[in-house]
Amino acid sequence: MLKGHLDMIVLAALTNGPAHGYAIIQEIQRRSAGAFELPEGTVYPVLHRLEKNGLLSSRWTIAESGRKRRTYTLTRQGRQAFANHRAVWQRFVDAISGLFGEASGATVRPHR
Amino acid sequence: MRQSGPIADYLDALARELGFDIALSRRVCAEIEDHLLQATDGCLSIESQRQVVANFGDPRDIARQYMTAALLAHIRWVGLAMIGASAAIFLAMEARVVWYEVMQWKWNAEWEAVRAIGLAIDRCGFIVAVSIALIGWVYISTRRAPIRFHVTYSKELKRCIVLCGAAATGLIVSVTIETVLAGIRLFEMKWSSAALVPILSLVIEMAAAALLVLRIRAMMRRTAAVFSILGPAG
Repeated sequence: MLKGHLDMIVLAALTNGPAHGYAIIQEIQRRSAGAFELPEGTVYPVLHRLEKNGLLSSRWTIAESGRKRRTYTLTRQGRQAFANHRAVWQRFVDAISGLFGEASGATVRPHR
Repeated sequence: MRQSGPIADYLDALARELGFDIALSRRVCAEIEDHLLQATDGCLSIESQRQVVANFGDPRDIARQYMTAALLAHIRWVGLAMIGASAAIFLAMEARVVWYEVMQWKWNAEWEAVRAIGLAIDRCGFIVAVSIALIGWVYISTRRAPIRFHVTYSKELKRCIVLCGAAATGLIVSVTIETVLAGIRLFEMKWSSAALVPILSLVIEMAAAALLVLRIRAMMRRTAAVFSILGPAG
């Protein structure tokens, strides 16, 4: 189920500012309170694809360790895409909440 | 230099899987090496490296997820090369025509019929090529890379290559005829250093067309390599 929403999850993790892949994964785990335990490697192709689609930009930086590190930033198009994703998701959540709210008042009949 | 161990082995395997795009492979391996070393938190024991690598995922699966965006990036370069080649050929043609007028080089009347037919085919070929190049550029730049390969995306990529190929064919026809016509004109004239200008303009046209063909060929090879990795299911 997560795979269909990976783009939105990665975009969301970058809304606080630029970050590198490892930090993005940590941020996803922190914000989801550990609910989204993604295989770490799946995030990198998503970052690459979002960059190619113009939603992210990236550049090499040098980490404290002296290693090269790729840092990603949301572009304006990326912020817009995230806002659209969030609006669609909110409508979905509202609709499901309404549906479940009605359902919780109904009596559940066992199958015979 | 990379030390041997599970992380180095993993990166080697990933580089092999990404062999369809060497530049991408280098970039991805550098980025992932940093991630894996960061994940070990400074503990480079074999066990710690194994754990980190296991958490990262199968290199083959990861490489496959890069394919869609990688091919799109390359086809965009081909699209750009197509527009660049069309512009370069047009400018070289115009420069040659201006030069002929400045030098007042006239056609020999006995070649007039050849010139008329040649120019008609040349113009037609060039206009068709530029039209296809513009359509192709719009088509390519409006494509988006999906998460995974699917039949529609494969068809889109093939369509992009066909459009680039058609534009290149039109340009080659145009350049060939331009070369023949310029050759006849230069053959009829007395040799002088002024002839270097049309010759140079022809070299520019040929180089632009050749670069485009090479880019398309590289793209076709890359696409074929990816399709062969993915198999018939794509």
